Amino acid sequence: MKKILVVEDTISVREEVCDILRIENYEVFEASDGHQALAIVKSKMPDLIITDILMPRLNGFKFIEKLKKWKKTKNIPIILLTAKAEKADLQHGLELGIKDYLVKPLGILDLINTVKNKFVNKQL
Amino acid sequence: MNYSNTNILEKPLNLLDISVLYVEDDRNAQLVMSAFLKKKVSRLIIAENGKQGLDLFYKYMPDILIVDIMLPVMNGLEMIKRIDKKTGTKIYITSAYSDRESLLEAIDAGIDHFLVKPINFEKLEQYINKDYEEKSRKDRLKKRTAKIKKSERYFKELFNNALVGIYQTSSEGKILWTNPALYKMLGYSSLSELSNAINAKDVYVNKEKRDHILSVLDKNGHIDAIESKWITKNKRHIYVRETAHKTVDDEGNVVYVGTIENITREKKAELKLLQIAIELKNLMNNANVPIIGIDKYRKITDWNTAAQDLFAYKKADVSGKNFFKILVPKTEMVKLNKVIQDAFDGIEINNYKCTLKTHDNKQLKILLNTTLKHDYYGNIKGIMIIMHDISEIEEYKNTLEKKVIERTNKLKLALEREKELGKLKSRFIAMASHEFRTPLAAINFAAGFLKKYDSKLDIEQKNKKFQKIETQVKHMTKLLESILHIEKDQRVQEYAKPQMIRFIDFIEPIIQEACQQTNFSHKVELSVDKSDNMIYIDTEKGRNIFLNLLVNAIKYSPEENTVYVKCYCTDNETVIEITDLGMGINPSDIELIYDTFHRGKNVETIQGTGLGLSIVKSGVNLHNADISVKSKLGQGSTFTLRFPLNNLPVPVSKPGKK
Repeated sequence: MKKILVVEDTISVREEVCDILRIENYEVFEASDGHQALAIVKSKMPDLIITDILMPRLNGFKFIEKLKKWKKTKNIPIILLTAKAEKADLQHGLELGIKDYLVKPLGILDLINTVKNKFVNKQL
Repeated sequence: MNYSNTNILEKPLNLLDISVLYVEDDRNAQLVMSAFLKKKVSRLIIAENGKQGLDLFYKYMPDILIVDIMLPVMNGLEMIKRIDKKTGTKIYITSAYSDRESLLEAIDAGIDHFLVKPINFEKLEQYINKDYEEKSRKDRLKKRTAKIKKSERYFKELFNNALVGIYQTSSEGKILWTNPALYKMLGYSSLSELSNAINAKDVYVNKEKRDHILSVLDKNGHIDAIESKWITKNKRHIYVRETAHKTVDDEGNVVYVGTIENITREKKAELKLLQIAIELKNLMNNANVPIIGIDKYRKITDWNTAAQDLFAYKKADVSGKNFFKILVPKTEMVKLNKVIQDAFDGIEINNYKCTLKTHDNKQLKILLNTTLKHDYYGNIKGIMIIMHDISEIEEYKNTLEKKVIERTNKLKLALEREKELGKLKSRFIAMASHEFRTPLAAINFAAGFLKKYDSKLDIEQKNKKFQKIETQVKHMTKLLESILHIEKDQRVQEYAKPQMIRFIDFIEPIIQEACQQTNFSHKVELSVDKSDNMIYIDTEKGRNIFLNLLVNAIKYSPEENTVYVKCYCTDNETVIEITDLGMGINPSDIELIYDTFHRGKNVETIQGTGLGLSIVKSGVNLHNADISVKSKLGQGSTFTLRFPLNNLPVPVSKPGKK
């Protein structure tokens, strides 16, 4: 089973995402902020990370930057969760090498397909 | 007849200027006589017979005729008889005979002197001298008479044709004589008609005038240029100027002589002018705008009633005083001086705006108009200044301008407000749609999830999702309520109906509800200094206040888990402090936290409508209570509320009061 880490501070959104992924047979780990997420990455080494940007304490980008610095984690595929598809955010994401993003509120199919594609691409 | 042998001798100087005709046929006598006469008289005519003598007599009309009785053709006597004695010629007879008969006959014929031959030339000379004297006298008299007659004729002409009336009356007023001018003046066609019709006294319209004239005449002997009104034959009135003298006639009776000038036209013109002048003066005086006149020395000469009323000076106060001293404030001196000078130079001043001062030193805004006053010769002697007091109008204008500016500003403000409201609405719509979008999305997600994975889900999982939907709906409902509350606040005048209640009793249910809404994530610690602390509050509206504050305190301290509520009472207040140890409020936001839809910079991650505190504030205002906050970023916030503790009804606050 593939391991997915969901980093999102809004409980309702996090629940929604995790529910879908679990029922789609993924092993899901949850974090509500960047710090928590880093800890889980180190211990669980997920196959995919879905992360929000706007979070207290350590925001999404900073978290990703930290990941990119470590050899072990810099290649983990990342999907961004964003409330508004702002140019600035997308730009920033691109600089960090992230091309995939999901816009809140999430559509169920969008989530499933984006995740699937991410794994397919990786395999390729 | 051949008169070639007549001799007419004319000799100048020291000869009597008298002509003599000598008729004598005797040559010797002729010679002797003519020799004498030549030395005596200036003209000598000689004839030789009576007939010749007669002819010559009628031709030359001599002053003296010396004729001898004895003459051929016609004798002297015959000749004398045929002479017209009316000519005044003196007739001398010479005769050789001195017989009585001839003498008597000669006398009968009408002679003046008888000379017997030989002629006594002494006597003859005497006679000639005497007659010459008489002739001269007669001549002189004739001349004088002719002169007088000429003068008479001349003056008569003058009198009769004079335009001036001339009269002569008796002391009783009987009209003795007038010239045509006078009787015509009075409407009569002849002197007799006039003198028969009236007495001089009757012409005067004013009897006192007439009596006055007579008394002056009697006293001074004359009266000059006195004007009176006369009545004519047709009962019309004329104006006359009279000069009269008292004198005596040939018989020594007192007569009055005078001249009369008909000055009716002049007088009428004068009266008309006077009337016009009076009317003009009245017009000026009664005009309802101030009109003043000044002379070239800038002294006030005219001052109408309106000027008196406006400037509070009587005419007597300002007559002859300097216009600038009386009416012109210092600041206007230079400008107005130039303007007045221009007026005197003939420039018409129209609606010149200036400031003048009244007696009470009040400053008035005046419009000036000037016209020139000329003297008899056409020189400028003064100016008339017509004024309009526009102080009121100026004031209105200024007030109006101010009002316009005021209104414009108000309008600007209103416009600003509208814009603000517009912005607010936009903000609201943006926020509301965002706030609703989230729960709607969650509902949508939950419903979609249930639909898709229906077969894979157990009851518990399904219920969880249904619950989620319910929660979201509840949330949206609350949101809606909050929004409606705000709107009602803005629209309707709210009243607080406070009652005295124990604070503990009031706050405990609210604490419960707050914890329920926040899923019991926090503990709320309540401390009161006295268990029976009271609060004077409208329970429903008070609930809104404290519920919002508690929920906020919990929401914005996610890392902590305690919120503190403290309450104590002073003499006239109930003081409540709500403290959280959460993220705090940015100092730049502190002022704005009560603004509708305002959300702090640091709360982007925490769901909120931005309406809670505005609801709190409006509730606080309804109770005339006070709210304040102390906060430090990252450490927490304490909201302090003070509610007045008295039984007076709470005054109403205006809707939308912040």
